[in-house]
Amino acid sequence: MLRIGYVIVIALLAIAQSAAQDRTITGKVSDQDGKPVGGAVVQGKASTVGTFTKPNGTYSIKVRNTVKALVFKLVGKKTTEVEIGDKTEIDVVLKDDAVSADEVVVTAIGLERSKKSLGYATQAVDGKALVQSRETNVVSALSGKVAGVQVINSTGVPGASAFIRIRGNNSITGNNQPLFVVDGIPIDNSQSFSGNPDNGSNNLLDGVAYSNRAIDLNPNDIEDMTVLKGPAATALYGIRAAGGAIIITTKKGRPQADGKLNVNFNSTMSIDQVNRLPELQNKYSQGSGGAFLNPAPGASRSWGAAIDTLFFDDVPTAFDSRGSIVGASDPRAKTKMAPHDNLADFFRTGYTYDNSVNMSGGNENGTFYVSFGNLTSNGIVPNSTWERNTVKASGAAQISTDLRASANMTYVNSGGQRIQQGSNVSGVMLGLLRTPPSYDNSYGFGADAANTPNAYSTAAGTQRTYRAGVGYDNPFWTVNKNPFTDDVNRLYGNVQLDWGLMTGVDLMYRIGADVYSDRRKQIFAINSRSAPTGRVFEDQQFNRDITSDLILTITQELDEDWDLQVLLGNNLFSTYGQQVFVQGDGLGAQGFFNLSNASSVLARESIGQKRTMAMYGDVRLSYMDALFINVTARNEWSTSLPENNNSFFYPAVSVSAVLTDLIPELKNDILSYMQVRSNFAMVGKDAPIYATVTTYGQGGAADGWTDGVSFPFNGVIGYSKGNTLGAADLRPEMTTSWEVGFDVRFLDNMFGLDFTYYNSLSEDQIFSVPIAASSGFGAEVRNAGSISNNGFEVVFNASPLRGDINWDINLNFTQNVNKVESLAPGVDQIFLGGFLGASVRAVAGKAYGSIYGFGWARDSASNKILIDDDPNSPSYGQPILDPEERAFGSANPDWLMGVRNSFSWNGLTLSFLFDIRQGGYIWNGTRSALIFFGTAKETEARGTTKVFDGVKASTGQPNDIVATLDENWFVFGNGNGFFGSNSEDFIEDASFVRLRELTLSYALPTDIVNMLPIAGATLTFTGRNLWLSTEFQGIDPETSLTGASNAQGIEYFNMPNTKSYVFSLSLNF
Amino acid sequence: MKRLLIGFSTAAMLFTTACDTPFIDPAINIDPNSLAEASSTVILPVSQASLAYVMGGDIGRYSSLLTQHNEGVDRQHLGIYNYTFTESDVDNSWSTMYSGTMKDLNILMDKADASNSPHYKGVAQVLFAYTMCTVTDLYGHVPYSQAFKGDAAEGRSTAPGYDKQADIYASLMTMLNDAIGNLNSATSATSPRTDDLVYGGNRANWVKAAKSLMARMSMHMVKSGKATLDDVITHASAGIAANAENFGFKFGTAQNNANPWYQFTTQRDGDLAFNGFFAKLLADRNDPRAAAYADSIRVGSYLAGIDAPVTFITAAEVNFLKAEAEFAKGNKNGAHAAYLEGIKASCGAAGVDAAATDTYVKQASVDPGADAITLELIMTQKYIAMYGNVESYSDWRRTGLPALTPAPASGKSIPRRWPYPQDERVYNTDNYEAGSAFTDPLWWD
Repeated sequence: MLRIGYVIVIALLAIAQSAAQDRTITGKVSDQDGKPVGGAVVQGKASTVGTFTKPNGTYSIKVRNTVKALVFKLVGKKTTEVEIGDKTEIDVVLKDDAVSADEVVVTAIGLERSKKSLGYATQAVDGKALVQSRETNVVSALSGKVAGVQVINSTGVPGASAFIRIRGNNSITGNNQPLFVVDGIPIDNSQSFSGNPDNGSNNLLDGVAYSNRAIDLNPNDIEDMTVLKGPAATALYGIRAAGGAIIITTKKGRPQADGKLNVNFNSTMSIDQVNRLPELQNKYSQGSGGAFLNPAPGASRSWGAAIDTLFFDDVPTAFDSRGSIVGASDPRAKTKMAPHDNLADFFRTGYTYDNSVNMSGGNENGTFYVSFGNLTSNGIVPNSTWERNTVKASGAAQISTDLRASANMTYVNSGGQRIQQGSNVSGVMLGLLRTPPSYDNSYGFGADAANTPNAYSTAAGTQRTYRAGVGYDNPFWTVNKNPFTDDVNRLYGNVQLDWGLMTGVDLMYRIGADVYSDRRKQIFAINSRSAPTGRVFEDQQFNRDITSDLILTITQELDEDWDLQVLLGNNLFSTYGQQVFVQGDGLGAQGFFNLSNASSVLARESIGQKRTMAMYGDVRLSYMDALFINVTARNEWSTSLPENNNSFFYPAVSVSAVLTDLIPELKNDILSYMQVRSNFAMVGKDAPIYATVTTYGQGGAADGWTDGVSFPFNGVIGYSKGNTLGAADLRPEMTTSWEVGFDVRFLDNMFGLDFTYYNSLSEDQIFSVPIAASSGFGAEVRNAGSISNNGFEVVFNASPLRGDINWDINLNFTQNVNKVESLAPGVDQIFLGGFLGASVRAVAGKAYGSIYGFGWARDSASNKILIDDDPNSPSYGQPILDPEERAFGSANPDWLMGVRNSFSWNGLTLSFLFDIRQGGYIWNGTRSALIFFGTAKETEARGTTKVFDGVKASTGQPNDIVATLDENWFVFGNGNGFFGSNSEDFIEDASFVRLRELTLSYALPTDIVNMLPIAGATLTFTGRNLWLSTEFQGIDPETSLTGASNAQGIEYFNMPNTKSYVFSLSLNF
Repeated sequence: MKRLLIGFSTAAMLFTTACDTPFIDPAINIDPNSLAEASSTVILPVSQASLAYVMGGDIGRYSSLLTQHNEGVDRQHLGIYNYTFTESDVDNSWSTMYSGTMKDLNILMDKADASNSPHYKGVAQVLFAYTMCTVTDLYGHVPYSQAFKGDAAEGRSTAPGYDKQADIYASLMTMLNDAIGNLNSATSATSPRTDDLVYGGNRANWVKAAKSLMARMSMHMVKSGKATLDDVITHASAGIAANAENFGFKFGTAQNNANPWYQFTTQRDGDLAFNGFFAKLLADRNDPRAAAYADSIRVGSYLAGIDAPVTFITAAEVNFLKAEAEFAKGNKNGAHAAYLEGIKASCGAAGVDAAATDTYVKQASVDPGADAITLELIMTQKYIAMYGNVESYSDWRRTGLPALTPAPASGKSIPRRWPYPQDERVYNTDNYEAGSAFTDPLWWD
């Protein structure tokens, strides 16, 4: 129906079009050295259509009589404008633009703007820089490259997600990540988790490391990315870009001389290794009370005898190939025990291969680009794999002088095999790190155990584990017996028509879609700890997003000095998602993983649907190409809001002034460029879907410990009234922000400093406000609460050396201060994710994402820890635990900084990127649990004494009681932070300094290239994460159990991160 | 230019108006995944299943650690066994009962009133009274009269006030009397049938369940003087008399219909063990129930069979209530007879045959004869019979029997109540009864 609407409008506009005369202009474009410049854009001023120069620099363009000037553009060159007058031939010299003052950036809805005209901060990332980091995930590749942006990788296993946020969190429970836009069409970057939907977000704490869907983008296809940071920059995208936007432009074909085909081939191999693991003790055996216990009784902890007092009897048992363990005095004692390094057996070197080829070409009438890419990754965890195949085709046709059609289409097939992690008795790290050093998980097979069924399973099909089959899965068992596989088939792309209706009036229509299915299957073999009777589930997800844009642009020269551009737009967006989840439990035949083999089946279906529509206008006034005023207004309608309140309006104003152009006297030998900018913007946001009413959901019961029961129950259907109250009176959320900034450059652009300060307040947030369960409901959806962000962004660029040797410095600094100003009346904190006793919450008056847990009781006056001084108490001399949970620090860093230095000499380029995160906390749940289990390195101190710093509880006097750090303290007392015990000691500073990237590349010199049948070749070595310095006592602190979710700051048996050595070869033909 | 603007505006209007249904169609926001309205037949079974799951889950499991029926040997349950029992451990069971079971039962009562279906109402009332009684027996003063009003058209409250335990008891006794009247009503527009997963619509059994609960509650109130021993005997005599009438919920053989104890012991194997103290109690008496109660150190099939029932009130309990009341009245013969009936009912429920039960009962340690019957014997046998039932925790608090030694590693005494949930402290701050210590006795204690 809507499509008909568009057809009608185009027809109407066609009638409005008046006939006009054309003229042809030809010429040649060259650079300052006189060499021809191919591929430069040639356009009539104030019109969207144009052509490209051929490789010999020549062009021919047809323009209307009314067009007054031609504009010549090329990345890295100064955009140049030439008056046409009565000329028919125009030759142009394009000058280099090292630190480009006239840099063209792609802004909202795909509009190209000169950077100097923008009243807000943007930052572009060149496709080369993205490719150079050799990250699989395009989100990870942004780490340290853009001010105001924080990237948090989830883990180092293949296909794992990365979380990105720009200028802090502005939504309490909604999406805090930016919108991803590819060639003008927003694409889905969600991370969806699998598992019985009745368990809700608990599924995020276990299962596997899922992908965020932007991982489907092939970095080799990306020309450049622009990061739009604030509401003023994203005003034209509206609500979906409330968290900023990442604008991605893909590579396109360029006109080539004589139809020459441009072929580029890229091959990369990456060697991946674990970069950091928790430190484990290797002195004490399995058991408790200092006595060794064999696996058979299932002792979980490593509080047994010292390993150097133990011997094997050399008679293999079902659980240990080395025999039963006995004391030195036992007559069976044969071989002295040595601690076993289970970590070394388990992790392997991972390999990632990335091969891609693209072809492009074209002439004045049209261009094309096609590419194929394959990435295959075998991870550091045995049997973890991920693969991505992408096929992309794009083309553009200049149908007539006034009409240009273009299309982009990408097909992606991605997925792999993922391994259990996190709070999950089948999780790899859980079983691995808890294994006592007296036990060998590999049953003597060492690193081969992953490929040797006999290593982890008995003839009867049960597991060999250090607890004799109870407790947790042997990690070698779980990587073989409990695979999760996913298979994503995705198609996204767009079709665009640009129509120059008359001089200065252009119409653009673009429609795009992003459609994918994600078919997932999880298997738990019989005797796996997560599902001892066996389980298989199929989780089929489907997502379809359609976006339509109609934009009318009117460009008018008002007089000599003033130019006006008016843009009117209409945007339609429709999203539809469906999930069908079927879980079969209680498998019959062993090793047969089909739903038909399940004795019980649970099925769930869920559909989510929303539409939005917007009308918007954008007016830009420019004065002498040096002062720019931009006003935008957008009205939006959303189906997720109550019908009578579903329309909302918000404006934005921004101003940019290039002072060095406005007041030429300012320009001197030192100051070469100065721009100041400021903006004020508002942006609205709609409600979550289906939040306006309270409905009855499918019945069931669960308790967080077990799978629970679900309906239908023995054939009886059941429904129960929802736990969250809907609200019929919701109104849109609103964020108000302002920003000031400047961009100054010195010494002929040798140094550049770009500074931004921003401030935003998001009010009337819509979220599920928790209420006392005794009201009959756990939460009610309502408008409540506000959250603020303010911060600085500094970008510093320098080119201290130019000439034979080039030296460039790029520094990005980010400081964001976030505060949850208020939640709801009577509610000062809400749960975002995590565990009992260690969770991530939004707490009023504190930064978003406070880590919440149990801490030590403190003396109200001195704030010192209270020490139990009751001699009869078993915790005599130990700190006292406060029985009420409270908020500690959050995962938000104090500041972030990325510094890249690059040197180039002839064809050789060396660059290194240091990435610094200062501040921010992570709950190290792994360490706390490993103390309980007695495998943490620090439990080697067992038996030593300590006087805890604090005051005696009954007297307030300084503590002088000598306490023994024994099993009673570490296990039964509060020396561990295992659930319900102290969390405070395990909330650790997550600051780090790392060498994020080290790149050495060499481009073959032209004289050698000329002897070969190629047009160019580049060899590159990239080292990623080669060096890391942090105080965090565990794996790499840049990991996150919950992946791309709002609950950041949880480390609980996460998979480790990696360091990589990457070799690549790029060939051009 | 003007014509262009007109064209553009026309187009924009076309999008919003020219279609049969507008693009921003409110129907898009109608949730296709859930029901806008539900009938009593689909609500009743969920209320029963959620109650049974929490009684055989957190409530039964945690209380079995406090009564030392079971022992926490690892991870979180080791902590709870040592009484590091925190406000966040009880959030789940509290919210399951308040915003799950009891909310649904309230909806059922309202629907029954509206549709003139006293049989549904009676069933809902008995289940509600049982659930609320369980809650107040664990915490003392709790939200009751102002609870469940989160979506009330009038008097809506998202932070309900607390009622005194004595008042809640009085109100629940009235409710149970009313329930019996409703269940005995000659007419009812609709009646529970196969949707009643407890009794399959057998109203006579529901009346017996109501009477049994009244007997239990009366026994709790004897100390306060709000009920008499005769009340207990009267109610018990009209209560559950055979295992076939036991008030409980039978689970299924499918994994997703499985008993909560089964799920815990299979999915969290190694966290919980059959308690040494309880095992010795059984062994000392050659108890034939031991095989069903324990599977070596694991919880056995009596509680943790995949389709084992979670029982709320059993024939054994009713007999022991009678025995305790008769004993307190000085009627040793009556007490003795009820005592033996209680043991036999319990053995029957544990699958022990009549011969083995006879052999067991004939031991002097079990049956010293009517004259030698003691409260300790009655309460010890009741404790054995009530394996895994939360009522044992109330029995211990009322009578101190069997005499329990606090978990040695804890250095604390056994809690006499549960900590209020964190959700209440944080989201019902003004009303929540702060400061009640673990060791403070309840009103009836």
